[in-house]
Amino acid sequence: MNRQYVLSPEPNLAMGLRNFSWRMHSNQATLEWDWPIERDTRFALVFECEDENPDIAKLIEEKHPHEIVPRDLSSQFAAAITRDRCKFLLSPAYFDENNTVVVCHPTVQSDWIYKRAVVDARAVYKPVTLGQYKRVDLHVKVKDSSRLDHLITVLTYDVLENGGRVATYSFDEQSLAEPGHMYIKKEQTIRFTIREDARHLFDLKQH
Amino acid sequence: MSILTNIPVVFIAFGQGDSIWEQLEPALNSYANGIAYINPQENVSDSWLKSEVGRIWKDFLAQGNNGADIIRVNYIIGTDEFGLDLPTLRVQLEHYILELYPAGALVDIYCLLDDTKLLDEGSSRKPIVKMLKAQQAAGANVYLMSNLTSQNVLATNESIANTMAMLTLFKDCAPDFYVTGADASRYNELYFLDNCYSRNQGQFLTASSLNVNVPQDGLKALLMAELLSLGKEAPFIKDKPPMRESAFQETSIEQKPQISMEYLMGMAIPEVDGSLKLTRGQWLSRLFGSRLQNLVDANHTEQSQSPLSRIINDEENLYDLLRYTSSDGIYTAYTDAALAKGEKELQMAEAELRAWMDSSLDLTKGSPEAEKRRLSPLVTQDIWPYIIASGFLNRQYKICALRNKITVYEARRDAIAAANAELCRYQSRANRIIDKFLKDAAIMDEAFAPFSPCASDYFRKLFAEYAAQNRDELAEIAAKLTKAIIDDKQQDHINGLASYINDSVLTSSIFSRPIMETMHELVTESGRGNIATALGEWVFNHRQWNIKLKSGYKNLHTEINIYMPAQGAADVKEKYEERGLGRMNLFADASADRVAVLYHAGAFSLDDLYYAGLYDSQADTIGER
Repeated sequence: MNRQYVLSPEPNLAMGLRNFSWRMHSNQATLEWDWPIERDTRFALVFECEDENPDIAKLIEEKHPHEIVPRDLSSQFAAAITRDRCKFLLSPAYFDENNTVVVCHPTVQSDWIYKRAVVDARAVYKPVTLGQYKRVDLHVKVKDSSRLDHLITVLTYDVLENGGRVATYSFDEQSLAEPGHMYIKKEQTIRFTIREDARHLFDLKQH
Repeated sequence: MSILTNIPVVFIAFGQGDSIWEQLEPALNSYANGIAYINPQENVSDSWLKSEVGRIWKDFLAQGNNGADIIRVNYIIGTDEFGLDLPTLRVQLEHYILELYPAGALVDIYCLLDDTKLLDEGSSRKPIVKMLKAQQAAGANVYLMSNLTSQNVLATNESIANTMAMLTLFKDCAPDFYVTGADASRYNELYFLDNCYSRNQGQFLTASSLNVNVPQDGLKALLMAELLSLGKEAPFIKDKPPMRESAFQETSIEQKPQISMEYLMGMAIPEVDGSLKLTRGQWLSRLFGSRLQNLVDANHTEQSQSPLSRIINDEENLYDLLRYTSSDGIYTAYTDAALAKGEKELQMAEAELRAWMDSSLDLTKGSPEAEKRRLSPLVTQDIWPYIIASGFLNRQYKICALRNKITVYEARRDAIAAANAELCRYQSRANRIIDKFLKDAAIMDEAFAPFSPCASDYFRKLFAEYAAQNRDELAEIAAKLTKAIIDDKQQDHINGLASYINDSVLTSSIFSRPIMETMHELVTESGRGNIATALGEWVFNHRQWNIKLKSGYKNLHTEINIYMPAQGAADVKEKYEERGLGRMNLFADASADRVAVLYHAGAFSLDDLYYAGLYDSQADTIGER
């Protein structure tokens, strides 16, 4: 049915959704909320957009792609993240007497949600016979090559000994493509690390 | 004082006349002794006057001045009503005086006229002038001591007091050497009776006097300018600058410490194909990519903050600091040298790195690059990749440190230029102050123009002599200007210098020379040679700079009495009188260290004075001659 959507003239209409939260898992974003106690709210429009401060009137006017979650069916919404980063806006809505969908101003809005690039990193150990050392071959694989430049700056590997970090090393483009090998002491291990401030962008899978 | 009055002198001041005594007493003490003072108050009793006359008689006896049978009695009054008591007081006082000095009393009456109140005092002066006319007619000499010159310049109380003191001196003193055509004791009156009164039916009055000495205000201004300019033309203390050349080379920058081999050997590298013949640079690129350079860049922090301790040290002389920091100054030269040295070292380090990178590995036995690590009894590892990584990093760290040093040197050069600009602003402030003092000091050249074309140079030379003798003290003073200007406390500094000038410079033997010696040195140094001509000229030119002869009189005659050391005195009189501009009476004292001049302008009656018009015609009928 081709419904007509209008923006509620009252931006503060008390129809807000409550207890909004969101989580990410394998580039799948899940939004959850509670419906208001009042039954006027019949459904929520979920917008996914890339603006820092999205203009809801413009989104409605331009028929920005959105999902509709009816109240009676669910209080959650899940979507795969396709863009590098996006925000989700939830706008409560109801039918007026003309059966027009009146969309309220977004009650809740997520923070930036980033699509995470999967990084497969592996250290393969090979002991040196009768020695106190072992050879380590490093392997790093990234599916999304567009983020390689960024990854170089945030991916490191640590040499650990008794659980403590002995040293940290970074990569460059060349060593990321062909990490190579080195010898470490028998009791030492290797741990790959994504820098704290980039962990929302990379999904490090360490084997 | 070597000049003694033959005749005791008593000054009797009352009413407003009392106001001059404070200045008169020291002026009198400069020339003579045997002076007494009585200060009657209004409605004073006869017995008090009697006791005062008795007191001064006793004082004169105590001073050994007991041979006189005549006394000079000088009354000083003002234009207040109390002045009108003069005739009464005279009768009472002179009654007792004549009992002690049977030969009589020579009476002079000085009346102080504050001509700044000419209009206000018009009515109150009238009875005073009438009374004075009567006194004059009765034989007393009357001197009206106006404080206003014909050019409306106010004469100070000191100047008026000096004139009164000199009138006393020139009447009765006994000089060692006396050159005049007039009678020794009463020449003033005789001269003017002959030359003025008899011809013009006028009455002699005095004009003003002058102490011939170095104008102290001008000298102080000149000394102030010299003190503020210490070190301006050339370093006052020829010493090396406090900051040594090494201070300009030293920095707190240190080369990054070597990265341990243990760390480097944790860097993953591709398999090494030992058959390849590559340069070190190529190996580094193949094995480490940009990771080593990244390490260098990550550890490199640009350091420009290693400033010199204090370029503008406010305890140093401003002009020295300006010299040090100028574009051709020693500090700039030190910094440029450090910069050139740093740049040369950088070029060498970069060339060495390039050569090292372009050369092949040295795997000959014993070389560091040929070393191996034993991983087990059976397995060894070539470690030259990490050796050359270490070599690369160390060379890069050295280059980074040198670049940092150059940045520091450049910052220092800029800081020195900025300091110089700041110091130039301070100098402008100092120059403005100095210019003001130099303007005030210009009077020195004017004052001594007959003696020297540039007398201030002579006094500067004297100061240079003083400075040479008090070098350490002045070096300390010279350094204080900088801080005073930086702290904007110039006035405090100037006050301090003024005290120093008064307490130390002017009291030194160099600046306490007798005026005759100063004049002699001035004419000798300037090559003019003839002190008599110069002094005569100086006296003649007095109008230019200090004394304004009263004019506006109907018949003006001038006479000059000069008191000076005996040497050359006759010549001065001769040179002056040669000009045909008047007579000079000379009081020469062999041991005198000063020159004083009394100018007389006479030949007029009271009615001829410019304020005569203030009095009505009735005044003229009283006390007619």
